[in-house]
Amino acid sequence: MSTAGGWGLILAMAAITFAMRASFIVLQDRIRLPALVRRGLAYVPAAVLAAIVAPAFVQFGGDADIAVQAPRWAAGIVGALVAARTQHMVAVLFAGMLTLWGVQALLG
Amino acid sequence: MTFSQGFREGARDALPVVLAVTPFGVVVGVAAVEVGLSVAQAIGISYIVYAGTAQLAALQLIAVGSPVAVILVTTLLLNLRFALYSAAFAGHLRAAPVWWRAVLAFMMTDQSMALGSQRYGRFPERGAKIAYYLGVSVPVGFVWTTASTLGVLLGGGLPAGWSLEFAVPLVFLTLWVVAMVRGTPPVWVAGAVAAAVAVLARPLPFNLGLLAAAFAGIAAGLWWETRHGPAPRPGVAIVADAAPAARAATTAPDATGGRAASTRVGAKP
Repeated sequence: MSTAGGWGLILAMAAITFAMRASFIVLQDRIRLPALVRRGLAYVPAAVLAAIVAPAFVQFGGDADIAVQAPRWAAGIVGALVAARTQHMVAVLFAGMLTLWGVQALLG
Repeated sequence: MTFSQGFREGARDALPVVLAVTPFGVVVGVAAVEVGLSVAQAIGISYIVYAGTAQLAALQLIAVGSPVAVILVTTLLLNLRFALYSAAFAGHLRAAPVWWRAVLAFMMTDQSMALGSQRYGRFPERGAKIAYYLGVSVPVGFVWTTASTLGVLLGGGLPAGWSLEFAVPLVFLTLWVVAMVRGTPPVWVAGAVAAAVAVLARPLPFNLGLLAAAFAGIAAGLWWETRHGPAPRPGVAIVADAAPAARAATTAPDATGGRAASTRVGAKP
């Protein structure tokens, strides 16, 4: 990719991303949200977070290698339990990473 | 609550997020160099686009020689969620003048959404909400751009065997579990359906699975709410209070209310 092409791509990505972020915050009431959409916003965090999280821990298909997957499953289960119990992010990070490294070492 | 109190509270809540964002930033910086961006571009992209997931996806697409149009559509799809956050936050941030709102919008991250959604129920004043939002966003932005710059300068010098990038899904896992634990039945349905669809739809091209899962989850939550009546309390108080009809939901007691101790996620992300 040429230098000019690279900058063009970066600026276009930036414009798209900023338009998404600014949309409602900047325009406020000039965009009216239908009632259904407003009700739906209550479910955005749980749904979007799940959509980001789940594929990072659970993967099916031809490229899913058990030696790569098993440590992630273990770390995900331990992390979820610690998260539910403590709701403390640093605790989850420690427990999750230690589990990941432990199972990776076991599978050697 | 004064501005500096709100800012400090946000910054304290952002601390563990910042720890987790660091390896992700370094990974994105390293990837940008490896894919052939110039040093200036590799550093600049994190400041200008400022969206790690989309950046990482774009870098992967550049590496396999994807056309620019595919890269831009992927950016749009991956960042559509920011429009959802923007709608959810519009009412909370409306006290600021328009140019200032543009700055606040530019600094929006998944983390500011997740933290704000759990905290805003306890902040009646709009000024405090803006202070808190800045308190989260400024450290996250500073650390992310610094880490990414470091990654560019380090090149491939990171110990790959440590899997430090795994901190990122762990952060999102924590946020999701907390949203679920504090949620109501329709929130549980939304989260569970989205998780299942995301896993099944992962092979879809261009990360379409993420959006399919998000919309399926939201639709499932609405369907449940319609069938079984409105939830007794909002699971996550992210509902925009811009519109009068949404106000009842916003002023209802926040599920995170009282029980959040200072170092906890609820007190937090």
